[in-house]
Amino acid sequence: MKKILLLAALLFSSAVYAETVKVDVNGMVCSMCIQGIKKKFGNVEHVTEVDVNLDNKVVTLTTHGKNDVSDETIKKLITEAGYDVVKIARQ
Amino acid sequence: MKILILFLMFFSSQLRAHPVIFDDGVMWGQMMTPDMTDLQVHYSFRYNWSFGANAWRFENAAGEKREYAFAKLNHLLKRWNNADSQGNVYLHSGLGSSRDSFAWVAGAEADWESRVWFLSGKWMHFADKVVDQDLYVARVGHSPIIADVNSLQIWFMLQGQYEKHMSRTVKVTPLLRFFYHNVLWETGASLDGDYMLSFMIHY
Repeated sequence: MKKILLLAALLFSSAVYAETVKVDVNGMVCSMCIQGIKKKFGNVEHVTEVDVNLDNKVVTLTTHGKNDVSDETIKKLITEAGYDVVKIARQ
Repeated sequence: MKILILFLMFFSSQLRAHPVIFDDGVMWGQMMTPDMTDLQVHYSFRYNWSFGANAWRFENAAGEKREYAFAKLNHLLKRWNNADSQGNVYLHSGLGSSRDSFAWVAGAEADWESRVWFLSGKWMHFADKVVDQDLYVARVGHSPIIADVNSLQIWFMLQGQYEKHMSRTVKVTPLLRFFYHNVLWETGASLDGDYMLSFMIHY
């Protein structure tokens, strides 16, 4: 019973602290843009998922915890990928 | 005539896609026409710089085969990122040789693209002991349907080539471009009837 409680606590704690970061980005027009951005964030510590939506021009990052990846880091990586950050929103 | 064909073959190999892709990206591509095979591999070591190799073989009208190998360095000079479009200016450079001559290439290219329109223009200068010439290439493309990123994207394109000091004619080639994830391929035929096939993958 203790093990189950411990497992559940671990499971829910990670869900509670996970953060979704939505980044509005200018310049993304094709699947190559998606590939470049995903590759740029692919090895970033604490980033568990990267989704790029060309329709609304948003890059969505899922991280392990709150503020695991700073705005400055996100801007730097998007800029290095060749695109411009318009806005960053955290949920 | 040999020189003209050499030019057409060489520069048609430069028309596929962005000369610089994305940071840490590799591009492998091949193009074929009735008289030419072109193979190139590029690595973008930054989002605005790439280097690579280009192997190219063609057969001229007299049946003579020529082979070239180039080391190339390309630079994204300027990019404009807009909400629904992107514009770029690139510089090309390369050094290489044929079996019997040193050769070099230099040029500039600009493009503007959205998810439904594509415009590009390019100037290239090529020289070896046989030729020393300029070439101008322009493309306009339209994709009538914005496909989902997991679906096949189809583009209708029209390409024009002009050799300033050579034929003084514009070679027009309608073609279809297909884009699926990280794979791009094109098929077309010039108004003179020469087919063109190309394939590119990046990762």
